[in-house]
Amino acid sequence: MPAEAGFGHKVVAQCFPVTYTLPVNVSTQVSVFIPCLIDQVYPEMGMAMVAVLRRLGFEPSYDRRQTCCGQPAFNAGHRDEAREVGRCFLDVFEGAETIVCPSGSCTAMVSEYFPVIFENEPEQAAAAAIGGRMAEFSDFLCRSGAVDRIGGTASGTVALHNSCHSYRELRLEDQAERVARRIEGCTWAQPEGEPVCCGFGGLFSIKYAPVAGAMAEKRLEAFTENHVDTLISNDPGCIMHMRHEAEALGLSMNIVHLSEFLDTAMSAADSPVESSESRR
Amino acid sequence: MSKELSAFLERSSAEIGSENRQRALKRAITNHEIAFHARRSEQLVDWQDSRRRAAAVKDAALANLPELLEKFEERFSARGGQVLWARDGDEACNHVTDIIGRHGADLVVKSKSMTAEEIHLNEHMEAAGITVVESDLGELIVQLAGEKPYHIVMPAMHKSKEEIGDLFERTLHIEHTVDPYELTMAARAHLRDSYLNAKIGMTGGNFIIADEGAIVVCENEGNARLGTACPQVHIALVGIEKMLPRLADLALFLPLLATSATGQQITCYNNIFRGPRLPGETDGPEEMIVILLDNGRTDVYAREHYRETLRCIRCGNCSYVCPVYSKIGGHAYDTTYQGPIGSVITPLMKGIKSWNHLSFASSLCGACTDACPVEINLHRFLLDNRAMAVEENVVGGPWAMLMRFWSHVMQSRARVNRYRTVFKWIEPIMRCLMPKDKRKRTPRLAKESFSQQWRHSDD
Amino acid sequence: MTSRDHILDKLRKAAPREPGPLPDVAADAELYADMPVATDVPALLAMFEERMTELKGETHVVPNAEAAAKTLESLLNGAEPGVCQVQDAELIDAVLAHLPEPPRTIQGQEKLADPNTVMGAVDTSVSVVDALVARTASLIVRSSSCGGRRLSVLPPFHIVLARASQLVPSLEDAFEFLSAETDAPWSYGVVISGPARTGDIERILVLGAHGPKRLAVIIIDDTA
Repeated sequence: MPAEAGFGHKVVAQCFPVTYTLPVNVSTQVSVFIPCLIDQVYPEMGMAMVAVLRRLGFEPSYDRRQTCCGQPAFNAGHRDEAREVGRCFLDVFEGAETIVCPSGSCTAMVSEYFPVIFENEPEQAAAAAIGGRMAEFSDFLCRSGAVDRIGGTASGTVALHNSCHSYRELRLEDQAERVARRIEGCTWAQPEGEPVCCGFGGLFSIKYAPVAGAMAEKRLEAFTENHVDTLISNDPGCIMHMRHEAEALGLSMNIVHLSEFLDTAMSAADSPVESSESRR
Repeated sequence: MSKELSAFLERSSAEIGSENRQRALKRAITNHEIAFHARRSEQLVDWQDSRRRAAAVKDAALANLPELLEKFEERFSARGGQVLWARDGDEACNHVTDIIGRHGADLVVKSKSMTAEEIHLNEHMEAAGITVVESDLGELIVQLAGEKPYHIVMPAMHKSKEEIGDLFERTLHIEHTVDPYELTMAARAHLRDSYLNAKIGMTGGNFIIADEGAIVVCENEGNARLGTACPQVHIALVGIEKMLPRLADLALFLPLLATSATGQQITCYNNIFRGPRLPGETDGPEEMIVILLDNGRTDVYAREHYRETLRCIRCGNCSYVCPVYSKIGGHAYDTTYQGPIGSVITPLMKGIKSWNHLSFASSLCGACTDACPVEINLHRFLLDNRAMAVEENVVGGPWAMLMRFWSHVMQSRARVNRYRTVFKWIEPIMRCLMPKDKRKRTPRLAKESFSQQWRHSDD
Repeated sequence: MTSRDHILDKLRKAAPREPGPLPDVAADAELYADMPVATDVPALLAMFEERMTELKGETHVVPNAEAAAKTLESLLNGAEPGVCQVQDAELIDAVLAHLPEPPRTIQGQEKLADPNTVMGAVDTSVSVVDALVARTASLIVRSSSCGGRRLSVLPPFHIVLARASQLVPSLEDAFEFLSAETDAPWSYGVVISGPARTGDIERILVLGAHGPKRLAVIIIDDTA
């Protein structure tokens, strides 16, 4: 293969997604990966996910050594730094059979882009394989069948913002909505058509703040038009960015993580305990 | 912040703040979205299949490009056509003015060509005392307004009919109207004489067909037909990457281009130019010259992984679906090729130092990649450009330092916890220094991190 | 080094040593969901007419040359006053034979070839086509056989005389036809799908931007 003129790193464009594969015998033991943003700023989203997993009969474990998947550096073009942080991730999760993550973008970073940053590195094989063991939260609930055990109640008018990384990188078209719709009592006001970006994009929202803000305003319009009072999302970055804009616009909309929505709804209904037969 | 980024943000903010522009963008994009989706499902059995095939044909054309260019030249020349090669924009511009000079002409009727925009051909011709008449309605509008095209397929997307009415009243001296039909007829009347009297007609080219020795120009208005039917000379300017191997490939590409560009089944006129008028033909130009343009394309070609970007058929669909473009419009990019494809190729063709800000001006949502009829991995190339910018040290120093620090901290949980404690002390001071509205909107660090809370629950 | 050599050289240095075969051309039936349901003349005619109507063009199906002449007469009667320019073609002669007193002055090909003819003064043109495509309601026109380049684009009203036997199902057939060897070499061909149009002003459809505002296709169906 001819040498890349002046650009040593493997170009991303030729890579294809590695999708999560449900193990043949689904264990109740799952590892969780808590994105750095949730760890530091929104721990309640992580706690909610753990609570929901426990209610559904899983035994989530959390390896405290974990920190980050490296995405902020990777998206900013700093692949060396992304690799350094990614290496730690690979180390921490070496033995984990199933990793559940409450963020589509972090999951995509690991499954789509780890193979890129670790090509020709000693960790190449591990990086190629790990995507098969990591699932975004709603994707895991659907694939494991746990979604069918979800029950709860909520009120108000709700809609879901499916993050771009979930929708386009992981090709999760309806998993989050399927999961959320298990909750009864609320009115759904989901906008038609494909999901549109909220404008977060990591550091883009800081470096290009006026543009990112305008994008968030436009995205929120799709929900305010439908009189949504609770907006659910599966990505903490989107939530942070949209909350930021909603505050500026003086909107009273609640923007919550899917995990929080489920946790609240399931405890409200005093959620049903699964029978041992229904657990696959 | 680089001066390019700062200028880009200024222009973007102006577009975002303009009610007229936002209204025009919303209208154009919504209409296109509806038309594109409807046509795609009506016409194509399987969009994914069509675009995969189209990507494969373009890749094959690119892989065989030197041979195909020679084949084109041979067959086109055999019928009396002339082929000129231009290394860069200046050379191409000079070819054009030489030809015009040779014929002692001072008027050119021109149909839409983004390639001509790329090399600033109009400015070059005008400097040489040549009057350039833009015949495509959208291009005529922006020419009369003294502006650049706003979108590669719909140049006057940003103008309302009211603005066009005012413009035509002022520049074409017609009675004021906002009726699109009347405005179009005014343009038609204005241009009629040029077609009939101009010695030189110019077009771009959507495709080069190697086996046929032909240039294909796709249009709806008939201005390219008129501009090449009456004048004595036809000059066609076309990038070397526009190659298709066979005429039969048009059966895939013409409907795909039309679907992606305008939501049409097929464009109204798909012109196949095989050379100057032949003996026995009633009319047609005495001379036809094709100028094959490089201008950085061979540099992109030489980078094997980036060669895919040369598949582009200039449909403009990526701009329409881009959430960034939908707010900032075409002028904010301040370069010929706008939107996602422009953000990918402009740094490659015009230099990563001055243009990398376009590759960073994206949230990486991936809508462009899904919309591309030739499967160019657009958002992934943006990531590659970003890495290249960092490699070449053209991204601001402070960011690099910040990233190194961030990576250092993130490699150890102990370090994360330590720096968190430090930051928690600084945070209130930082918040005090923020403007009030920013303070309200900026999230605080949680009292305890998830990791710390987990540790408690373990105890 | 000439620019030509410079460009080809750069490309050759980077091009793959073994580029591999070209992908097969896909059949239109594999690609398009809106193919004609059958390839017999009635099916092709029906689709052509339907698609042409969507494009705001007109289709007139008639059984013979005499009926075609009547249709032509009524079209000319309803059109702008002015000269009608035609080309030399067997089909046109056959139809005009049934129209000894046309409602407009009809100029023949000799006028068209005369450089002093002011095409701008011609309001209507009549030409033949090389083929009709049902799926896209397209006309396949070549400069050598369809009266040149200006005839079908300059006048505001373009009338086509065609036979139903000229119908092909889809574009692949048209391009096969165009690629074939021919005794009449042509310098220019065009796939025409409807009257001229633009959407450049707020994406509002306007007909007759520069090319013909009105397109009428008279198809003689002598297969029935």
